[in-house]
Order: sequence, then structure tokens, then C-alpha cells
Amino acid sequence: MSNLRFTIFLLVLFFGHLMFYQYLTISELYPDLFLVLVVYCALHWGPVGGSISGFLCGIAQDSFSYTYFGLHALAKVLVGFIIGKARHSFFSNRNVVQGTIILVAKLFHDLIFYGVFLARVEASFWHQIIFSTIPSALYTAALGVLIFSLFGLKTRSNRSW
Amino acid sequence: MSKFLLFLWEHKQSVIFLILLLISLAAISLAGRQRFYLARSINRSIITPFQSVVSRADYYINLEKENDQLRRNNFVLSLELYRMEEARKQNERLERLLEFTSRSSVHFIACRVVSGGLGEESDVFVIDKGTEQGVIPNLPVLVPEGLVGKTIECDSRRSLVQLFTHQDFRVSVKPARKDEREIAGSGPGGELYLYNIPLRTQIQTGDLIVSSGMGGVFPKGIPVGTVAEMEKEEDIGIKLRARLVPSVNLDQVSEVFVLADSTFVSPESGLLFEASDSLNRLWERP
Repeated sequence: MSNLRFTIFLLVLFFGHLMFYQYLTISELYPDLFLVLVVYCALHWGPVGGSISGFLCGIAQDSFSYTYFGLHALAKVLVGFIIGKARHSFFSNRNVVQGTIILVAKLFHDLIFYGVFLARVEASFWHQIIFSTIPSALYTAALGVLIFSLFGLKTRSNRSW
Repeated sequence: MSKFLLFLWEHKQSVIFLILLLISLAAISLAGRQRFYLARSINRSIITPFQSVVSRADYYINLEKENDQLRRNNFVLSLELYRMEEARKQNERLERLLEFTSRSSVHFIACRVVSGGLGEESDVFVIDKGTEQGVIPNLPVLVPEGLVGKTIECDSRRSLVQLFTHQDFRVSVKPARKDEREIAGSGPGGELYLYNIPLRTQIQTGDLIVSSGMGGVFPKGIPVGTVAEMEKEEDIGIKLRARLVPSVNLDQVSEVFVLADSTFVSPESGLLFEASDSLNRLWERP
């Protein structure tokens, strides 16, 4: 993929999430395009790219959640690093695999996030995971695969920094 | 030294990861005030300008439809105004007759919602007015339909509104036509609840719940929600709680008004609608 197309992809995801988040939200389904971006950066660039993109996207999200500043960043850095480290194990350009990676990444991200965020309210943790995280993860995965296909993105396993 | 640098270079992946992880953890452990300052700085300098562009574009796209609606409303309100003017004169005559002192007028500050958060846990709005326009923390934030929240943090030109869905939000309330005060707040799933209701309560399904004016922040009479169902408190068992359907659908809120000075708002009198004009003028300024 050309650098130009890759740059456009990153900008579309980053600013798309910032500017059109509320328009992409369907009922209780919340997409996380930042997470799609982190997953792609991790698959493309490895653990360092995944961690840095996770940190930047997380901080951007944290600036809107005025409760635990740094929590999105923490969750996304972990997701980016782990996917970057393990990417050779599940490297594939098949849509099903990419969608599954995004789905699992979102579930892992939300387990960390809500594990801390809802620590005070034990009862609502699993309610949140079952009724919000899982549907949102499916939606994010579907949206992510669509965006990957739209931009003709192919991850590559031979580059790391 | 060179060995240390070489070690860092060899393990650069882990080092960068650990540094970012530590920065994130340090940010989480910041005290509230510093945390909010950092969040606002990033928000204000990088993100909010882009969201302002989108919200303005969205406004212009819906302008024609909104104009039609406003014209219709204007006609209806004009007729209502004639009727209300007569009622006001009659009211003044009766107040003079009974030697009532006249109430001070309600002072609204009309604001645009610049951003509504980026995640399902974001129960805050950022509005485009701050201390320069007279907005200070702990002021009620409303729309004509009812309560939205209260201001919690104010910059010179922006303020942060804690919505009624926020887990820390509480408001003293009462049924519109009954004398029984309760506390409303956010519950599981961000829904609005009345807590610690005695078993022998006058509150029933379908009751309109309004602010009681007892909390010190919200004036009396602002619609909060309607009772949808009553159930027993899980942990206590001898108390009830009531789930409310909020009067305001937060997904549709793009303008709000901050109640800067008022002591009484009556849901029946239509006083809240006084702010409609100022809300409509919001977008006319550059």
C-alpha cells in the first residue's frame, strides 16, 4: 500500500472518530475507530507502532472522559503492544481474521477499561460487558473490516520498528 | 553508559512500551484538578476546533427544516403570547391586590454544545460559554424540556457540564403535584433512578418528577423525568426505587441554557420557553 493511502487511512480514522463519533453511534452500539487504527498500526508496525498509536489515540479519548484521565491510553497501549508482539502468530489478510482480531482487541480493551472504571460498582461490570461491550465489539469489528476493505489495506509482517 | 544505551536500544520495544505505560498510569493517578486541566488543555487545543466545524456544518444542513418548524412554532407562540399577556396583567392586578412582591426575572445564558464525549462512559458536555460570559461551576443546565445537568468546571470560554447520566450526579426532586422529596441520580446502565423511597409512598408510575429546590443548585420545578416503574431496592429490601424516563433525550441536545440567576421555575408556566429565542440566535454569531 502506498504511503499516501496509508496516511489518508490514518487521518480518516483519527479525525473520523473525533468528528463523526456521534453519527456512527447506533442506539447503544458505540464504534471505536481509534481501536481499529491501533490494531492496524500494531499489525503493520509491530509493538512500538501499536503502543505509540495506542497512547496517542487513548489520550485523545481521555481528554473527553473527565473521570480517569489516562485510562483509555493505558488500555490502548496494552492492546497495541500485545497485538504487535503476537502479530506473526495470526498474520493474515483474510477479513474474518482481521475482524476477529479487532473483536478480541475491543473485548480485551473494555475488560481493562471497565475493570478500573467500574471498580466501585461491581454489579454493573458484567452488565456493561454483556450488553454494551460485546455488541459494540461486533459493530467495531464489522466497521473495521469494512474500512480495511475500502482502503484495500493489507497488513504486512516483515516490518518492525 | 554506552552499555546502558546499547541495552536500551536492544530492548527498545519493551522500553517504549513501559514508558508509555508509566505515563498512562501517572496520568490516572493525578489529582482531580490536575487531571481535568490536562484533559481540557488537550481537548481545547487539538480536538474541539474540529468538532466545532462538524457541529456547525450539521447545523447548516438542518437549517431549512428547522426554519419551517420555527415558523410554525412562532405562529402558535404568537397566539399564546396574546393570551399570556392578558394573564400577566390579570396576575399583576391580583398580586397587587394581595400585596405579593414580584419575582425577579430568570437569567439564562444560551450555549452551544461543542462536544458530547467520545465514549459510552462520557457523561459530560463541553459548552461554548465560560467565566467571561458569567458561567461558573454549579449552575443548572437546562433545555426547554427539562434538566440536562450542572456546570462543574469553567474556563474563560468553555465549560464542562456534568450530565444527569453521570455516576456522581444527584438532584433533590419531588413529584410535580405532591409533597414528597426524594433523591434522583444515575443508576446501572446510566439510567435515572429515585432512591430510598419509603414503602408508603405517594409516588406512582406516570408521575412527573421535578426538582424540589432543596439541593441548593437546582431551582424548584425543573422537569427531571417521568416514573416508568417502581421496584424494591436490592440491598435494603425495605425501600423502593423508581426508574425514570428522563424528560430530556440527551442524544438530541445541541443547544442548552445555563440558569445563571433564578429562584423559581414552574413547569406549568412555560417559563423555560423564554430561552427559546436566545437559543435560536446562538448560531447567528460568527
